[in-house]
Amino acid sequence: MGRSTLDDDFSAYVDARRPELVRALVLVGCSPHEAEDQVQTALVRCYRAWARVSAAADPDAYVYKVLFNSFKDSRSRRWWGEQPTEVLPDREGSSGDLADHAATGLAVRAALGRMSRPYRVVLVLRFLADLSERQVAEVLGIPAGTVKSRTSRALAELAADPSLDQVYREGSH
Amino acid sequence: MLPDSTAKDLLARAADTVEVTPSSGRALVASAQRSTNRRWVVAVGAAAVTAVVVAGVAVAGGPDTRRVPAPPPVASSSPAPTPSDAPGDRVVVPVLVKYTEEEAVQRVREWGLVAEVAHRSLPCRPVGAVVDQDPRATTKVAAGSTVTIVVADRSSEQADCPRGVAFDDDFRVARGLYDFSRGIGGASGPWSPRVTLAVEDTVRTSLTERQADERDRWLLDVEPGSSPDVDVLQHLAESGGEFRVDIGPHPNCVGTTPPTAPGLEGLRQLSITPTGPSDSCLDWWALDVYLNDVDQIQYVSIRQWEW
Repeated sequence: MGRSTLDDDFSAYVDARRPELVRALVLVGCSPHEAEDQVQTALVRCYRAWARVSAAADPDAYVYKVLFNSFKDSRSRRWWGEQPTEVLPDREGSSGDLADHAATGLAVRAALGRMSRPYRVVLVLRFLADLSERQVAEVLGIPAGTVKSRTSRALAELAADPSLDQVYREGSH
Repeated sequence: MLPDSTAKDLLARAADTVEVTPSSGRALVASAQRSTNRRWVVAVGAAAVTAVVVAGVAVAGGPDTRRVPAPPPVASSSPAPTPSDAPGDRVVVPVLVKYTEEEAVQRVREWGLVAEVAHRSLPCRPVGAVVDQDPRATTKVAAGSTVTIVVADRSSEQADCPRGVAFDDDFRVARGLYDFSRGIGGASGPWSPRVTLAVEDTVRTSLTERQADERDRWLLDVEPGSSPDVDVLQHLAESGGEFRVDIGPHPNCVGTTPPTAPGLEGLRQLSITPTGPSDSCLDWWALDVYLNDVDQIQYVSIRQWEW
């Protein structure tokens, strides 16, 4: 594949996937600013090796792996290597209309914010990035069994979160 | 348990609440070609940022309190502040505690707010870290409002600090263990792939994640053949929730701090100790919880004055 064709291919991939990558990092706990910066960094890395990335069995899994490695590297350089989760929605302010699509989304973000980061990460990779357990294991460098157990517990935690009770009661799903 | 389809729907809804600055693949290709060595910033549209410039002078709030001015207008190639910078808009105060002062001030600016930094002598708190904020995170305020961040100054660093001070995340771990110890709320964790249980400095068993979720596994048969006689979590379960959480090694009842056990140096230690009324050292106990670099519980040790 020539460079211009590779550029076209990469450009089309970025147009299609970049918003999802940014949103994934925000749900994991980045600020929007930091998420966009991290995604930019990861995509530039992928651009340099796009011939290899695009030839991979699953380019998405490859890109997510680069992205999460980059994210992990940046966190390890920071204060204690960990930081608080992204801004959580004001629960009091949003509790009146949780059936609304956006309000439900905010409630889910609040619930994610109360989880530990490993749980948030597996939920985001499994159900937003739509990666398989095997792919998530590959991205995070952990056993598939660990992905399975974390996913199971994270889903249980999400289902038990009080901010989502009203969502279910009102029939939204 | 949530079905996968519901989980996908919920995550998609959560993702829909995240605003993403537009940027095309073509722009990124052009940027990548122009330079390969400098740090990249996100190219955005021509949305100009209206900055509220506040005089950088000291204001009321204590002799060591200063107001950090909002940034000057920035070039359009920088990321737009989030979530809003329009006058009259309401914005959500970001989480600032546990950031460095510099990072916290930057976050406040990015949110279209004004940072007021108060340096205080807070013995044994981490120097340079934000330890408190007002208003609290997630509060909605008008754009341009002032957020006070409290930073531990240099005098906070003292040679004889026996214990650190835990943050919210650490209390969450402790509360999770407390609920788990009483059989409430199901699983605790998150566990590391192997969870080691010890009595004092003697390792007694190593559990998988799944085993760690089983409360009975925390009962240790210290003397083989006899009935289980040490419940690692018994004191915590019986504490009535009256415990404190600190970072780092802790002194025992008479003030002697034991050294960190070999092999645990790279882990972050939380110590959970009772705060309830105590007449003697016989009531003293400590649960040492060691977390790995992704805040998973990897090692738990129970200590008490007399066995």
